[in-house]
Amino acid sequence: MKSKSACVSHIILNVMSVGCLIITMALNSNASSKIEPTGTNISGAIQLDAIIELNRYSPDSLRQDYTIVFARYWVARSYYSVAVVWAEPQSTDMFFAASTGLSVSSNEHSFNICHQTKTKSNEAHKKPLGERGVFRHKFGSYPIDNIRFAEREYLAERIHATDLLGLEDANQADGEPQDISIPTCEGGDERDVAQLKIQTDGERIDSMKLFNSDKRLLKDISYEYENIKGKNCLRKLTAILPERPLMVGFKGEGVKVTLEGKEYRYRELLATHHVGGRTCIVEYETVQLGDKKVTFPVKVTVHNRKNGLILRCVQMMNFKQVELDADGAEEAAIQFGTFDADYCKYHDLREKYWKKLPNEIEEKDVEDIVQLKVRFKKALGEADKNTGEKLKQLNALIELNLIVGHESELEHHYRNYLSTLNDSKLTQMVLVGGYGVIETAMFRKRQSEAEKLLVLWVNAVLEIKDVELILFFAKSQLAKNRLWTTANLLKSFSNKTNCSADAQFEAESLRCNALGELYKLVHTNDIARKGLIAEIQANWVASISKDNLETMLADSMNQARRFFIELSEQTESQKALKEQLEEIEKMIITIKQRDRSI
Amino acid sequence: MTMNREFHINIRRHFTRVLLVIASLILLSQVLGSNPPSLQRSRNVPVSEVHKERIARRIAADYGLGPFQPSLEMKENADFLLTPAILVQESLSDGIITTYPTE
Repeated sequence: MKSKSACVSHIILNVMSVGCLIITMALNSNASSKIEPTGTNISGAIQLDAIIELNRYSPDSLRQDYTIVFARYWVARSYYSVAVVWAEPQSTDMFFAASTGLSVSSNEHSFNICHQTKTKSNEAHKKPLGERGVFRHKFGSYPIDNIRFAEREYLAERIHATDLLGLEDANQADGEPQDISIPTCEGGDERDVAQLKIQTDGERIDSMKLFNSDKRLLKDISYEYENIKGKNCLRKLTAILPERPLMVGFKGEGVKVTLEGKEYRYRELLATHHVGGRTCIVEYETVQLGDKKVTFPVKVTVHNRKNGLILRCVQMMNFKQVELDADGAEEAAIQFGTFDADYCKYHDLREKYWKKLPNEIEEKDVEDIVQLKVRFKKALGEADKNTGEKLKQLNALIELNLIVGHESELEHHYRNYLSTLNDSKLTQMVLVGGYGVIETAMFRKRQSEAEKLLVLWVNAVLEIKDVELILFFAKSQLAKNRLWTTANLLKSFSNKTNCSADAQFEAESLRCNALGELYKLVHTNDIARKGLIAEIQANWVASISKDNLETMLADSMNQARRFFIELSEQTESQKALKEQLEEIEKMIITIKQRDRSI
Repeated sequence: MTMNREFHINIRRHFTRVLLVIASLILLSQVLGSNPPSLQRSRNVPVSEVHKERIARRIAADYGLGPFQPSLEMKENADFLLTPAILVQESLSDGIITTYPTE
């Protein structure tokens, strides 16, 4: 009897569970089909390439560093893998916590970091990933395995279609924004979002604000759609991220403050993350994948909200469906990011012959270099290479030709390098990366090659139509003591006939500044104190045109004055530049008088 | 002759006004002096421990937080490596509302 009643109750429970499940599924499917923007269910993985541009500005915004990272992604609903295939510029300007050879994979069970040479961070971090905790990194350091916390933080702020089940129809809610409470726990994981304020038109979300449990705004997102055959297709997402508090921690005993004899000590303090706030814009396009149309993000741009400067940007391209499971995607990423035997050999030779002349190379290594060049050239010609892979091969070919002193081949590959960047619309890298190769040649004490590359670089830069970009780059270069190369660039630039009088005056004034600074370096014992780059640049000019420097400076000064007079209206900044010219003139007179007295 | 008298009257009237303004300024400077009354009063009021701690914390923040900023910038750049993967993952699921990750 007991067993019979138990069986009946068991059946009733099962029926109820199944009923609940059906109702939940119905509600879920209703929510997902009703409200946009959501994605499209796709089985398998998507492979794509990304070009990530990163900017770093000095506090006065006069000095800028610029880095590009080339990566390939394999993404599915429950896993993804990333491989960093290349980064530019290959010079002292590059800044990024991760370098070529890195692969990152995330699946349901773990978050895996793998780097071929920097093995310290290599680890499979089991999920759940845990909290970031107090931020303890200073002076630009950031161990790459910390990016796992970015995934955890995203998951804690993710919004499910089921979270919006309580959303009323826009007509019923009089078009007013609606408040939705979010359960603070999801499958045992804490959620950072507690409240949503959503504006909809019934079928799609127009804007959504995310708040945490302290009612602090986390994100303010607005959406733009295109109506295609009655369907809302997402075209643009704008997310405003306000400044947010972040606990930072000091090592050791922390910061000590003594106030009226009393000592206060702080091991942790509240810092501001996202200073100035962030405006993140995502652009979307619809891509045909087999029989399905999927809306993918194709470009992300992140600005500083306060000053409008672009902080970073990524372009996504070459979307294609691939049959790879989580393990397959991880394997593909490791293979794609890893240096092959040829590249490792090249790397060893590069280290071995740093600052060595061609006649110092061992015979067997000359043969190896010839073989490597053949193989790299063959690989470069393969049709399926993306921009990052091409630049990787071209950099290797440039370096190998620099080692053995094959000038014509060096120039050929350098031209190819600049045009590859230009064809990929990476104009700023023509400036930064193009200069980087010249600086590498100078570091290697290969002045003859550097001079030839300088001519090619200046010609390539003159093709760039963005005058403001060139002038900003020139100012940034001068702040980094790249004086001689910048003076050369500006000389050609100010002579450009299609330049405005304002641009010509600014270019010539900057050239005067560069030459004036060089004059000071060459005529004083100040070179070593200015650093290695200033030393290289000053030695370069001293070896070829020290005697002519004064004449060049005088010519530049006269030219700048003439451009100043030709200006239709002189702005305050132009007047300030003119005053700088007078200062340079005074400085030259002082140095001359001092030299005479000696 | 009449014009001359009017001119003298005007000068005298303006002179009186200028004198009045100077006298007011001198009086005002004497009242405020080098020790403004409000400031003098605040010096005598004891600063609470909570207020002192707040001042000390602010000094510590001004002095100590600078070196963290470059690393916070680097964190944003490095975390940005995951952004394309997360955004594409959202595109592949009809159960997730499209948002933006925080770098």
